[in-house]
Amino acid sequence: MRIFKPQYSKLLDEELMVMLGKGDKRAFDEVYKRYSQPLFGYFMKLLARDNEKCEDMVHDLFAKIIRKPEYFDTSRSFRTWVYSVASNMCKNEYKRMAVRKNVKSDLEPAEFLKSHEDTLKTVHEKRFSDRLQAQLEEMDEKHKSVFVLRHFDGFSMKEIAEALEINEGTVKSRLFYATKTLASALKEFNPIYQ
Amino acid sequence: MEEKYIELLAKTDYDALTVDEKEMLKELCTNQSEFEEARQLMKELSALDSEPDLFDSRKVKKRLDEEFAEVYASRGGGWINFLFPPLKPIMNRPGIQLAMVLVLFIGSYLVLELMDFNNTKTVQLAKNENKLLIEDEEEAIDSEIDENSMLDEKKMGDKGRENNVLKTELILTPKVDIPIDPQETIVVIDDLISEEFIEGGRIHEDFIALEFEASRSDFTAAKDNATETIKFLIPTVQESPDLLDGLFVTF
Repeated sequence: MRIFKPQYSKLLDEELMVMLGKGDKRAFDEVYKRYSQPLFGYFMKLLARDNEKCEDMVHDLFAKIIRKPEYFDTSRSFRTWVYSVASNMCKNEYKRMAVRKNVKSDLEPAEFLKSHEDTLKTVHEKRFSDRLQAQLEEMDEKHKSVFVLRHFDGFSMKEIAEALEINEGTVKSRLFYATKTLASALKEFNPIYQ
Repeated sequence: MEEKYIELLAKTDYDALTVDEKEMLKELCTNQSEFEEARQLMKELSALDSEPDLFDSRKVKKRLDEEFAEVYASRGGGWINFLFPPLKPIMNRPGIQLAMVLVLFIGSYLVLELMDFNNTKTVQLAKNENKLLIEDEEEAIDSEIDENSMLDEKKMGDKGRENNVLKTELILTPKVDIPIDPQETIVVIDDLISEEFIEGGRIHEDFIALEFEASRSDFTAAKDNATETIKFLIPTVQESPDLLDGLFVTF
């Protein structure tokens, strides 16, 4: 039994999961604080930016963690594990929805202009982001997830391989393919072509 | 190593790449224009990294908190979670380990208890058996002694002194030079012993030894008074058959 409460912010994800498994609410709060936003971003990129759907996905993922913390193998990295769960959830969602195209919950143009009317740079970023999202949606799931994990969630090749349960060579191959495809599709943003 | 491609795309011009670096990037870009496209994509992506998605975290959190309270309230108190933490493998849970130790302890205690009980029982049985044997032996010895002493008393009473003298005389006969057939004398001795067997059953060893000692001393005395004995032994059995009366000797 601990006499003093641990500093949750300094604990490792895996330690927090052990405490969460014992019913420590503060450990859960810390895990949620660390991962809710990145996971939401991950779902947003993979699920056509359906805000409501992505919120539900985040909720479902954390509900799984609450109800079945024993599913997490403490010898593994929590980060890769939680993203592998998220990735599987996305696969299931794809299967359920069959084809998800153009379900974007884009902000209305007026709203967009209202909030981003300051600089041209912001407009450019917004345009690029939208186009990128559109291209990602057209891409198949296996290339998209590798690309998102690498460039949006900052995973290393090894972590991606672990999270998606594929070998590193495959990760590299998929990542290069996705990058090449997107780079080609988004070349309009390259100043050379403008 | 694979991570190096981002660095290469960000900083290097395609023409400045070495053969090895080009080899590494060949899957991504094989010429200047592809390299530029990829490079531009990386730039745009790094600019997008800081863009947060709009996420109403509190709404989701509230739902999750309710769920957490519901789940862990139903799982019981802190002690249950301490003894059976769900994240640990079954054999590593303190409750399971404690139960195993208890089972081991109780099991060992029962086994030891059973072994001790068996030992006590065996020892007790052996003791009882020994005691009975000793008692039987003692009883047998006592009865033998009683019988022998009774026989002895009876014999002594019946034959009196005469018989004793005769016995001594008969035993000593071959030693002294008497004019009788030695075989006949031996038969008499044998018969005397057989008589004792017939009358008294088995003779106790001590008793025989004592008798032998007595006979020996008699023999010594007889030898010392050889002349006297010879004189005394002059009447042989052949000459005076009436001497054998009352001796139960059969020929």
